[in-house]
Amino acid sequence: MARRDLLLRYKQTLMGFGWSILMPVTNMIVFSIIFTRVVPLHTGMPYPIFAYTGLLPWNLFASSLRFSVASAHRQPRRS
Amino acid sequence: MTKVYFPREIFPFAVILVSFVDFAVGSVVLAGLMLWYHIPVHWTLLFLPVVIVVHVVFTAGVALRCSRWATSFYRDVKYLFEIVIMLWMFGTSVVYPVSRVGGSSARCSVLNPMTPIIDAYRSVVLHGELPGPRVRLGGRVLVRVALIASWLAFHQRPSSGSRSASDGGADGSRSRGIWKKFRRGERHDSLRDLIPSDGARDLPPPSGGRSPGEEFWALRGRVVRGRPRPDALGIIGPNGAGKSTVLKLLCRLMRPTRGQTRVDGRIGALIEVGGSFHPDLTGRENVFLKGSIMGMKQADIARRFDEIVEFAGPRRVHRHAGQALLERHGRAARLLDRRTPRRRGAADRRGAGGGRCGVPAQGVRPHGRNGRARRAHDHRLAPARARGVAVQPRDPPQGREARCAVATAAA
Repeated sequence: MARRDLLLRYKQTLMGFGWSILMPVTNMIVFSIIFTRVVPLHTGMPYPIFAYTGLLPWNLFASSLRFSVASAHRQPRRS
Repeated sequence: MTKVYFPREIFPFAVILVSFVDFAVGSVVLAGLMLWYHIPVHWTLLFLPVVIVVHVVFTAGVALRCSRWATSFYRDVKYLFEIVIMLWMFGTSVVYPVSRVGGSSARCSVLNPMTPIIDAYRSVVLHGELPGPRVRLGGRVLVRVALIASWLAFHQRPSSGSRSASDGGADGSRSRGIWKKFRRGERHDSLRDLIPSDGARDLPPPSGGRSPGEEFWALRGRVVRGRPRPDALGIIGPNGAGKSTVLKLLCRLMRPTRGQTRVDGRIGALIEVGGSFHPDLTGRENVFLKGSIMGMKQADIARRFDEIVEFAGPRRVHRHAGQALLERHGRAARLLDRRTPRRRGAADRRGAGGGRCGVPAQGVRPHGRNGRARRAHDHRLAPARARGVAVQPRDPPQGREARCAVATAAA
């Protein structure tokens, strides 16, 4: 079933798995611009990599929750 | 071939697995970034799997909890959920370091279990430090509590009725004194649906109808006994009599409120045949999907693929299956046929695309040969007679007090 979900998620997208990279990368770029240009933030290391290491695990967490809520609705319930 | 037991708990885990693929792909990008910024690789990277395990377990716990909520509430939860996730993200040190927030908000972030987890990722990958002991301990305790609590919550459904394993009895399948209770009225999936029906509740119910929300018995203590090795058994009755309920109970798609059903041999369900097919997959992929759900091995499916297609009739299996309910029925029937040695399953024609669908009558017929028992379920009486099945309703249903009438068929 996981394979089905995976297949479906990217089946009808043009870039396929590229999207899974693009999501956190876009977030990283956006936050990088905000926190280096608009509100400089000192993290002790290049900001992009700081943001990315945060966003990557967060995305795992958030998308799991999002899909689990969706899957609970999608899978037909009998009883 | 074994029937696949499908615990509900794997849904959230399957979902995490999917997200984890993204995570893995994203990690490659992270490695690239680290090279670009000349971040040295620390030995603490060895602890990364530990952090990942803690993270995944915590995610699984929360995901279980959430899907439990989602199934018990309205669909609106989904949208509320987006907001919660967004707020949670900004409450976690995803895009800023913990050191930036001081005082009371720092204490808050200690309570947020995602903060130590994400910090642990950073210290292990970037700083070359082990996650602090308080972070580790706190993280693990919270993770455990979350997992146990959600597991319990997921299982707090009332379980009544017992499933008995199929054993080798001499006579046919029977259900002795099964009771099934339903709640009257629609299931509300969203608040939008709830409001109009809430208004309708104030109106007098349609003549003789029951008011929504009231519980009623679809089946009440009816002893249904198939004759020893019947050739065929027809279950007939007007709408709402409980025909499908009987079949679903027999196939164990539902649990009886009281009583139990016993099946000797195997049963293959043709109830709601469209189930588990996905409209976005091609017909070919759906054949494989359905087959693997039913416990066929990939090689088996591949070997029998042509038979399945041939049986399905319309030669359009390579196209999208979305519109072709008819094909689905045929394929499913074939798949069932191939793997069920003796006892045929139940065919619910309504579930298989309504009375307009012309195929099921033919699709069902072959199963009656070779001495196989057959259980046909039809909304029309005539075809049952035409197949040489004498149908004799017992306790003819009357109006709304209709009960399921069961007819045993002459061999």
